[in-house]
Amino acid sequence: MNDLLLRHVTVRYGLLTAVDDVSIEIAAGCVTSLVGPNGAGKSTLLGAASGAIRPFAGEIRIDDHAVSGDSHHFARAGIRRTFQTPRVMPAATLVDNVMVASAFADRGGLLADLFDTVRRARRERAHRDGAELALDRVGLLERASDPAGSLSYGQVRLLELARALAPAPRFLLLDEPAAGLNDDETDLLGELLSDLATEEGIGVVLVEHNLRLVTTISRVIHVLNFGQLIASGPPDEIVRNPAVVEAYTGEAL
Amino acid sequence: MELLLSVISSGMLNGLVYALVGLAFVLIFRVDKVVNLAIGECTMLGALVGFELHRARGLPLLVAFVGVLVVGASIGAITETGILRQMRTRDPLRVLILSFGLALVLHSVARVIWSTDLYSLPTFPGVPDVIRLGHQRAVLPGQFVWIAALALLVFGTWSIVLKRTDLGRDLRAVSDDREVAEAMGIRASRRVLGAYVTACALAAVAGFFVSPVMFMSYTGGTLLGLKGLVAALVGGFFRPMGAVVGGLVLGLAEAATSGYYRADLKEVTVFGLLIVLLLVRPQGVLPTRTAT
Amino acid sequence: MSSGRRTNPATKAVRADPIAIPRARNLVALGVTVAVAALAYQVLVVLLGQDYNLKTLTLVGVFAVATLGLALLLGLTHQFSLAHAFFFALGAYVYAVLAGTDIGWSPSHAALTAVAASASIAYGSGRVLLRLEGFYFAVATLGLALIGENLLFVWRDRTGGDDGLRAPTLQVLGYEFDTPLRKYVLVAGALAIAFMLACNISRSQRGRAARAIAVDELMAASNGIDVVKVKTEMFVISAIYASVGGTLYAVVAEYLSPSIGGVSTTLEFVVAVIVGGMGGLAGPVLVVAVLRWLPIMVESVEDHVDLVYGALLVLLLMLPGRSARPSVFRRVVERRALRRVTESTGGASPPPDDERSRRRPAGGDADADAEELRA
Repeated sequence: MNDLLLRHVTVRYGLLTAVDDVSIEIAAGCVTSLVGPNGAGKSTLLGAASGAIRPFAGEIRIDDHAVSGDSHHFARAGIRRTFQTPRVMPAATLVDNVMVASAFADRGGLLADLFDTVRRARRERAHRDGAELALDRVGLLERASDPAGSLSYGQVRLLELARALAPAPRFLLLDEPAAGLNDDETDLLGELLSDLATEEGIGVVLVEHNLRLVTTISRVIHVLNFGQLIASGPPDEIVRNPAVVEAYTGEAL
Repeated sequence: MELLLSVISSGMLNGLVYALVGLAFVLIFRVDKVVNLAIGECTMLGALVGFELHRARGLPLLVAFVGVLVVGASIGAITETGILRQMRTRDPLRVLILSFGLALVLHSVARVIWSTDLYSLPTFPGVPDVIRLGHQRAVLPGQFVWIAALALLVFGTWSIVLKRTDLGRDLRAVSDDREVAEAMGIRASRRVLGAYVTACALAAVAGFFVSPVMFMSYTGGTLLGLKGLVAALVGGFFRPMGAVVGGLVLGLAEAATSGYYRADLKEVTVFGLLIVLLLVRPQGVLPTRTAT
Repeated sequence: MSSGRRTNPATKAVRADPIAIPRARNLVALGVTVAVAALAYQVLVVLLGQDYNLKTLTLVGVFAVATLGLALLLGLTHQFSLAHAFFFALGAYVYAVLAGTDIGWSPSHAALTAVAASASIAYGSGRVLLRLEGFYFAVATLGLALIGENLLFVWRDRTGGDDGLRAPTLQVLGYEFDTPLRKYVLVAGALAIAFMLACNISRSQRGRAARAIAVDELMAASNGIDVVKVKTEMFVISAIYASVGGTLYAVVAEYLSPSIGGVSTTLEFVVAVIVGGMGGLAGPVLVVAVLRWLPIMVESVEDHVDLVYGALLVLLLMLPGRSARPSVFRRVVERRALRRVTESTGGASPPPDDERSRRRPAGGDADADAEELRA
């Protein structure tokens, strides 16, 4: 199976259950969205799927085996995540920021790093090319040598995306990627994400509040409320689903 | 039995001193979120300045006490206003390293003035030099009474101020979230200055009070400061009485190692415990409050 | 999507790039400086016949080796370890006790054992302590250092306690490094190798991972970096550097006192890394060289070394965040050049030139390095 499976995931903080027995299948090659009111547990679920949060119960499976451990295990399994507040290194150039993502791409040991300068230089070159490619994909290549601190907010979000793309991930988990973007930027982002899914077969997962974006590009939408999964389906079904409307507006249809 | 009494008594005496020094760390940490390593040197200066004024110059003890207060308070004030407030970026790591530097400066200045000799004050008036514990041969230094009184006064006042007064409420607000506190009209910078002044003065006074039972040289502040820090860590930084618990635990552990095992290993035990504590429960041994 | 590469010329001016590979320029500059300085003093020594200067220069090299370790751990990975002098003293004392006292191992075996001991202790304690957050880690390593210092006195029948301990010179395959000149060559060689390896690490993926960890551990982890592993590796590497430095110290000075594991020594390393520039390698080496030469150049400073360190720390940290690398480098190079010139002409040393001591304008540095220093 190519999919990323979240099975019976439950996350608890003390007495508070943030995610309650949620099971979702995320298919490769398409865009899946997680929506729901604030506090519904969407970001928490994303955190559990990327290894940042250890679930109280349930498991994450990819390629028919469970992924567990620290976030770097998940990252190496091909699951990459961006954050709600961007975490980049403002003093470093864009290229170097993106190259962090491939910092552990090969299994070069410590001794290799210490002594094997030739091979190391070659690997560096390869990673740098990969980074530039990723920057090109998001449209930031011409600013590749600029420090990340000089970017606008929207561009920083794109940088994070480039960084997540550089190691050729299988699943891209994006936490509110359209937050703070204007309409034009959002449309461009939507196009980019669709292309990534269809052209490169990446399983794109969005946690988003921007319903226009979500309904435009998603193949499947999952709706969460109070930590529980209340609806799943293609966009046109979801928007007509009474439970979903009630969750958002608090009123019955 | 006698050994036990002796261990308990010396443990408590030292423990209270560590608690007082620990409180000095807590005071600064709570409002400024930094650890100021110059506190240790303040204790040393308290003892040495006290000696200088009372013993060397013959001034009355009370005057020496005031002098010590002034010295401590000034160091706190100078640190906050003269140095820290001038810094544009004031993050905890920088301030920590800077306080290292400051401690070194104080340390060296003390050596220049007082050289490598050891000094101590006589026991404060009003108590005998030693107090016999029942019919045992174990004794308690009379100074213990003064130290205990100081600790009671200080911790009692701190507890009341923190919980019942406006000042205490303001301090807690600044401690929780400085920006919000300032937005609500609390003059945070004043409170922070006050915290520094009080903490350094407290440390100096603690050194002054402990000097009759502890020979102090220019190097004494480092270790005492460290133990105070350990006391604060053991007790957790956020409960008013934490430093007391921490100090007593530390003092008793140290005394027990010294009495029942080997005196020269007592520091090893202390720091070993510290490391274990940091790994197991860095927030201190007392139950933490739930997040407000 | 756009294609083709265009770099913005305006940004060439921006330096202090914590993630980027250090420019080769720095290495060449360091190499040239060290070589010239060493050569100059070598000439002076031969001409004036003072072994003392050579020994001091050799000790500078010893401390430089140890400092490189901390430059990797603290400067690169921002792990605030206060146990560096602990491993330094460990290297020195293990060597001296095994090879010098009645245990009588061969010096080369003793030296290797010292390294192995440091590496294992570092690995063991690192795996445990590195889970701690910044400040707590610093306190824990301080605790480790204090325990070590304490143990030196507890085992005084082996270590000599306050009386100190004699250390034998190094013998490898029958060749003994006993004369000042041989020691100098040994240390120079060791420093060259140490520096090269440190550069390799810094410029490698591991180095990049370390810099990422220094900025944001969670971000690093979510990018596939095994944070604990990298931190532990850096910790062990730094301990090895410190330990080798310590053994070299024993071999050069031939006499140990417990103060080499003390707070003052730790501070020397820490100051060197911070003042020399976090993330750099050349800077800390130069600063430690200055710190070692200062008490000798200015006689009255010798007693008040602590005061100078302390004041230096306070003053430098008060100033807004900037890497001291460019200015320290420049000032020291210029000062040395001046001194060489005046010494050869027999004149008095020139007064400090205020023009030169004024800092260069920050450009992009100030904010960049504020970010660097912010843990």
